[in-house]
Amino acid sequence: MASVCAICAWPLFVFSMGHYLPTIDNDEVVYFLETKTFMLHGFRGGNFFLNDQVPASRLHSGLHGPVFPALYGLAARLVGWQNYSPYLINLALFVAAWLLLWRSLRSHYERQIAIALFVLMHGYFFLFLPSMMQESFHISIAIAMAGMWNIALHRGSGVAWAGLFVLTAIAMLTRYLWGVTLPFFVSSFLHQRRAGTPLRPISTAALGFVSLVAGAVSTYAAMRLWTFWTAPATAGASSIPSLSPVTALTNAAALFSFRSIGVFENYPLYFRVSTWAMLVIPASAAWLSTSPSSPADGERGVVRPLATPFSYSSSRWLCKPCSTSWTAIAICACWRVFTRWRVWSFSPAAGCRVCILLIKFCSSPPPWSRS
Amino acid sequence: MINAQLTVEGATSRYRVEWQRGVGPMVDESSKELFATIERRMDFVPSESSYCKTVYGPLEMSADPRLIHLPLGFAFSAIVLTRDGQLPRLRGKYALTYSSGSAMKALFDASSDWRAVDSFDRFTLYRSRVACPLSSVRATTN
Repeated sequence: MASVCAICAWPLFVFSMGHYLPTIDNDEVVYFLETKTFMLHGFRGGNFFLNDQVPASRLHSGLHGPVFPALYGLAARLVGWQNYSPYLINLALFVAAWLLLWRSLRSHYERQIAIALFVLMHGYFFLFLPSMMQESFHISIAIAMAGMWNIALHRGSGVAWAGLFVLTAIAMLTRYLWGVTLPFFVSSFLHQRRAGTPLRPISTAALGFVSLVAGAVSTYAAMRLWTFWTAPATAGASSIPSLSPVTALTNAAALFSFRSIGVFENYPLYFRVSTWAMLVIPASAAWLSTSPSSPADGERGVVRPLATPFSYSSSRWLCKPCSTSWTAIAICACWRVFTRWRVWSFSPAAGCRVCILLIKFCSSPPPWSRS
Repeated sequence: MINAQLTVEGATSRYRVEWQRGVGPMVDESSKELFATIERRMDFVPSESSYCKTVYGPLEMSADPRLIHLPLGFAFSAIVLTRDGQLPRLRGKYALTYSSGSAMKALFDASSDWRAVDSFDRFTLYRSRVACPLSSVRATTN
């Protein structure tokens, strides 16, 4: 735990944080300004849209929606807004999320050590800490989700379930595709509430259907809200091009192939090495861990949490083929599974999903080579 | 070890660490002073429309890290030229262009809708002649 917290200090040794300047890309500069505007003027600031093409909504924050700058803007009202402020806020969120996940694994020392090794071995968790990009925020959200989900599943805590759903809702307001995780949270919640009651296949199917509908409706609503906040109201205005079926298919094909996408060819080795670091450690931990402790922790229990992050990262890929972060997050989220069950030995379905993750990572672009 | 080495390599390149260490502090200080100077020629009026709280500039300026010192909480809106190479219709008060080598500066100079307020080192500030009429109210937000 201390090692993970200590490594978060790396920007202090690399940069003069008092003079840190956003250089990753123009998104970072714009996020910085959006947050500053929110801190000073709330939602009554100016526009961050191309050529005055503002949306129908009265909230004119910018093309990435108003919630992310609002959250950081609120924090900025507490800590001020200087060059180093994004680092302070990212650090607070990351450490808090990490401590929550750590706490959720209390009394399982081997898992705590394993997950610490896992995080330490992958630089992605720490790379974006000093920057004003959204990545660090979403990584922290994912870690907090993993922690809350652990607590909710193992202790049946109503507070943890409420926290998990509130956190998911906030995450969906910043990036609506987080809604893809919702059916799995809802499903595991409903199954837990029905624990002790034998479920017939039709009841299981009904629970699955309800979870799916809840997730789909919530995601659609979040998407419509996000569009209302960001899409230009003027007819014929230029905007971010919508996703075409051809693009979606191309991205989906990339998910299942070993090829690199043209513009992301730098640093391919990083991701191959990262992939192995991320998979070998969980595999070793799974191999050394105990067998399922109860029938309820059987194969479906393995497949479900694995499917959650896989679905989420797949969806991100369909929309934007550069979301390696989501799979990093995904593997963190399914850590509970890796460290608890012998996924490789008894679950062909889970094995297939891990293979797909492996393939995806081998063809993933590095996070810093985005166009 | 390999992973750590490659992570460092990627981060070094993406964060332009050498630049940040070498000239970053100087660039930061000089741009802070520069925008403090520009601020003295700008008004932020809370009661005005959101357009009047927006500074326009060329798209490439949105990647300029100096811009984080844009004063008074003004928003920044990137502009791209219309298909016939003209400025789009803008409803805001201020625009910022690079003082040299900027095609957009020539268009602002030639436009009757805009007047140059002043040049500040690498930036030139413009004010609209048609939008957001002059106000005597001075912002007190900084």
